[in-house]
Amino acid sequence: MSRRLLLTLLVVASALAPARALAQVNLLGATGLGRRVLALDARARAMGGAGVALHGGNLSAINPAAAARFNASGIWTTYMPERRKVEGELANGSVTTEDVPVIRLVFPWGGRWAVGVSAGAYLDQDWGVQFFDTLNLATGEVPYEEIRTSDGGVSQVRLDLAGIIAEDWSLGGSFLFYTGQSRRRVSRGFEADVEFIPFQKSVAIDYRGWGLALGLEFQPIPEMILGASGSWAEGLTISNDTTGESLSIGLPLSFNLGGSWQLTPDLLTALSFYWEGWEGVVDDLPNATAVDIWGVGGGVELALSRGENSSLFVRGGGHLDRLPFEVSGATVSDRGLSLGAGVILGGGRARFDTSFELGKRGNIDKNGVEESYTRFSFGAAVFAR
Amino acid sequence: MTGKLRIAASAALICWIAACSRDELLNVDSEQAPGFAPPTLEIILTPESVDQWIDSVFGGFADASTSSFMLVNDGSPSLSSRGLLAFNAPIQDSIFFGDTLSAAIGFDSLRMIVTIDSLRSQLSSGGTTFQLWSVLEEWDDESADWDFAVDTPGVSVAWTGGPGGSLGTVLTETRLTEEQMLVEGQDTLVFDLTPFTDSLLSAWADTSQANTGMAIVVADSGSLLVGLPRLQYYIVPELVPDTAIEIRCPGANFLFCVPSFTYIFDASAQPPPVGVLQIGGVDGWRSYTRLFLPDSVQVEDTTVAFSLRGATINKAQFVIRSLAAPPVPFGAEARFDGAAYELADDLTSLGPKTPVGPLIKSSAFTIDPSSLQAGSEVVIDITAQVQGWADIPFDSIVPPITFTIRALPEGTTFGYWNFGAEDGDPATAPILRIVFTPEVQFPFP
Repeated sequence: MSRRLLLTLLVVASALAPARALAQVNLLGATGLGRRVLALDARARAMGGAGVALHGGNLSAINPAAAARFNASGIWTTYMPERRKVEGELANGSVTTEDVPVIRLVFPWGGRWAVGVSAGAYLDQDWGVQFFDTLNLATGEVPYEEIRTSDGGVSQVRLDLAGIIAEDWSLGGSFLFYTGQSRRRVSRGFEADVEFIPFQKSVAIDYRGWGLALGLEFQPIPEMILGASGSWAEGLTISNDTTGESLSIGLPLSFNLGGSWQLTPDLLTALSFYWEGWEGVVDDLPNATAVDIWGVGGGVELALSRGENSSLFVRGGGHLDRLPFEVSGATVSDRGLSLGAGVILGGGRARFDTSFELGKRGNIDKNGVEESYTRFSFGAAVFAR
Repeated sequence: MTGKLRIAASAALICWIAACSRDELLNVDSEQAPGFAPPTLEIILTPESVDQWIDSVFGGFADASTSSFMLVNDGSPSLSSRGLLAFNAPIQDSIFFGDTLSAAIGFDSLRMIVTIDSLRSQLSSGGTTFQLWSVLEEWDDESADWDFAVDTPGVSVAWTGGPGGSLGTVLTETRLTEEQMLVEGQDTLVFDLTPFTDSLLSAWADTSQANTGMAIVVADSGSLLVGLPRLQYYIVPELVPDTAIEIRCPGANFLFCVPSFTYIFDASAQPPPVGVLQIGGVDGWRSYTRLFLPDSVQVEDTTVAFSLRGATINKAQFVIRSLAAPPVPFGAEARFDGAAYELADDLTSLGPKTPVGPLIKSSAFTIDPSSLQAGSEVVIDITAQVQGWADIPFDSIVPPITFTIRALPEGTTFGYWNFGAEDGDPATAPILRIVFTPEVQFPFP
């Protein structure tokens, strides 16, 4: 018997099935490139995500043409904590994540033009799981605990230029820069009495890429704004900082349509729709299955009070989205209802918005896992009037 | 907004982006867990399964004079043994009173005391008498044995009185019964040498003359295993002639008193036959091993090979398997501890002179003859050494794994224990059991 064959026979079967690479059956948010985070501010969130064309100052970074409507320099951000309760045979537990979907600065000039810069989460790869299992060794079973985490993701930085090109038309363009890093860690610990050395490994995966976006707004009547935008990306280069190995993948084309209509002086309605062609990315990703995604959302905003110095609003909305990466071989949907409020202070110098959303992602029968989430968005904006 | 304010605000906000975070962990089924982790595997290497596996046994790393005990035996079963002790270091014969050194005008109440190891001593049913004899000729505590007073390379001096030492007269004797030792808990044996106080102590204090020492002998039947002997006597100083001051040797007030002692016996352990590893005993038997680990191993029924190089070694155990107890009187009479040490040079060329390197972390083990049967395993953890091997860069030539297994400390038992060797019966040959997690790269998402 050759030594090699003997060695082969001496290898005792491992108890660890997870040797397979990223399973297709997977946890929401942990598949593919992670969770897609839309660059919506708290006001748009409260109105069902309708952030393509909004009356009253659109703070989302969806449509670059929207920057042209600002007549004062401003800076704003939105902070978005989310509490999820995960149920299903694949996973269970509760987890809290925090994202900053948008930070934005806008500087108008000349009454017709504006430049801006914005940044925010694009693909959120924050997740962490733990499980307990047993190694079946020749000397007996050895229990162990394994923790796998991923922290980080891909951010999108936008440099915007927008202008009013005709009486009712504004146009904007953006240079998109994708950057970020996710650190993947795995640790496997054993019970103290077996005195096994724990296994720990981590790697950083870097992301770099760029793209372009174009947006348009049209105001057919003073009470209505219609908008459309689209983006294209040259691609995303993914590199492993340990091995230096890299992979280039495409990023999807995306299109957004939307509008808002001031039905009465105190009542605003808004609607939006988007599509992103993630299916084209699937061939480039070795361990994920992606589909084209779309989302529709809409909502209303009611002004409770309006004054020279301050105004108060309440909002409500709903959204339905299809997420890009499949779980258990089935697409994942995200549906939620939102409520929110906002206040404008100092005659427009400051603005605070908040939204509260209740929603669900996935379907326990289709995907094997379902998330019930409670999402808050807090937005603050300051303008130099 | 001023330029500086804009920059500060931008920096703060970008920091905020970076603060995106996640708390808590989700519980998942191991089969469904996202992410990636390499498997943890177990391999069992036998001498036949590796390119080279050599083991050897060498002795002589300890002897009776470096033992932590003295063995006094009556000749049954098949072992006669006598304890020898002498006081070659200066005996304290003066004492300080403040800054003044006062010589002794006399000594009083000389006793020699030994601590009994009751678990390893066996007395006859009616008790055993132990005698303290004078020894008539000088002997070398490091080389004296049953036949020779001195037995060093180039110098061998046989006992003039014949094998077993040149004994003179009985100085004193004491009797010990099992009831005293086991029931009453008597843990010392006291030889009262008071009648010889002045003569003995004066003789010992006179370093210009040869110190022939004393021998502890079993007068009838029994076996005694004792710790280091110590002296207890009293000095009557010139300055305070009506006072007797106790001196203990060795003791807190006489730290430099180190008695020379050994024991001689009429049976000698021989190197083990082929196929046997021998560890422990008064000769300090050690097992030396050298083997080459494979760079990678293949999982059964697959073409997947996992590299040991670069892997996390979760556990590496060198497992030796007990043979039947060694012949009387050489089977270890009590449990003893051991450990593995790295070897600092080539075992195959230097043999027993191979320098021993550092202790392998966590390699301590215990050999307990009362629980060892043929085939019983003793496990020695050499994880640290195998991890060191696995960590050697891939572009370097890897050396073999080499280590020695020895009692720690050596010389704590008279007997040793036998285990199967690589060239012996495969059923009792040593094995190397390694649990490892291979180094693999995380795949892209």
